Amino acid sequence: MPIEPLRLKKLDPLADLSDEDVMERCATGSEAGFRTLVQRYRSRIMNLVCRFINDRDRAEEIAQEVFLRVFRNRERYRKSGKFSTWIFTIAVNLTKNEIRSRVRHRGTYSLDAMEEETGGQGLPFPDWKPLPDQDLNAREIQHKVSEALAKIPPRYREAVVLRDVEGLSYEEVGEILRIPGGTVRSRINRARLMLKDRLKAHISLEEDV
Amino acid sequence: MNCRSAESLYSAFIEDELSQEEQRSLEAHLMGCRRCSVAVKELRETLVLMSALPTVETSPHFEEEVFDRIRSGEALRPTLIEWLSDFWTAARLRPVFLGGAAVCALWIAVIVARPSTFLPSGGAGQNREAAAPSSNSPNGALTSSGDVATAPGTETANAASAPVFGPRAALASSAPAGASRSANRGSKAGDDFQWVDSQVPVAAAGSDSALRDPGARFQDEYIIDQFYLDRGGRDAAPIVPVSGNSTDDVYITF
Repeated sequence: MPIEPLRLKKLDPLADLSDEDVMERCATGSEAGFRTLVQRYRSRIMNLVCRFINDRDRAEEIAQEVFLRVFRNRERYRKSGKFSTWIFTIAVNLTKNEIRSRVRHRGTYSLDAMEEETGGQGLPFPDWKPLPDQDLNAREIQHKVSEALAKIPPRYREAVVLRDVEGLSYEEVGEILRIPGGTVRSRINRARLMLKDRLKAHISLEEDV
Repeated sequence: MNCRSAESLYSAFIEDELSQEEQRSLEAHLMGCRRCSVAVKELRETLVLMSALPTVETSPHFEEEVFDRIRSGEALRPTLIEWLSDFWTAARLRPVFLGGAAVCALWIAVIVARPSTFLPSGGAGQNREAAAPSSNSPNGALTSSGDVATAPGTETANAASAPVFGPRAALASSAPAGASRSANRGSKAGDDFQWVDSQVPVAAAGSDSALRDPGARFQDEYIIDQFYLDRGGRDAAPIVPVSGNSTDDVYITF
């Protein structure tokens, strides 16, 4: 008698373990442990990287690199720290490297430059799946929000993405970015004000609708 | 509270992170300032829009691509930074530090030992004893400190052929300082080496009372043999080099 997939899932010994415990198993060479971590974090890492650099294809490569680094450095991980903070730190560092590299090669990193590169055919924006059921206006607003996010300076963007997109606490954001709590709060507030100014027209439109 | 200080508290106000006093103060400001109250409202809307952003999903093959790269091993090679951070671990660096410390200690020991070879504090006798066996060797040999030991009777020849070490040949000699100096002066012929005393403007000495009698000057007032310090007194006088730099002009005035 074949075992049902649902039953298999319930039998997964790693399902109830914390990230830290799974990572500990991964450090001992458990492929299942590593697979579990990839499944748990791949969307969050992809989302984070993509919101940072606003380039879906490159974001996927960087997200893969994040997991490769986790695997490569699995024996260095200390259980005393949160796994999510550790993996987000790796992701943020790799993304910063990418942004620096782009700045070096282009002299500047802006959405306008990317638009020029794509020949005005639209941005390589991170909408992986088509959203036929969504309201066109909502999609347009999402596009504008992403565009506004991509245009604010990287150091403000990284703080606000970690807080408002990934939902991390101020303390975690500070730990990942290695900046004090007061600076975290200041940067996030400043980033939100920049976004508000850029989205003002759309906020009014939203209210009118 | 003015608009500028109120603006810095917007996020904390929306997230209920203000102290009671700050909250009361900001609320009082918002009651009287339409611009700030509108800004807070817009900020709330902005946060709603941010939270409505869809999650960007990975491609369906993401997981397998990660595992393929791990299995292939090509992606598991450490980056330069990772390699360096591995290398700079204390355990790996310990032998490097120990080796470096040993080299430094050896170097310091050589530096300390070298003056004791040339300028013995225990008297010139030690130096003579150290130099004498070398002088008895049939052929010239380079010692560890870079000295050239000379065969007996070859002081002048060595002084002529190797001016830098020539004075050291005189060091090994038991002849009085005056004799050594004259021997060395004699070796100047046909040599590039310029003795300091040959550079003294003897011809112009007429205007200088101190140089009226150059001979007397050389003998009585100055010892201007280059690099030598007569430590043994005028009679015993082994001549000891002060430095190996032939451009130094060392004048010892008595």
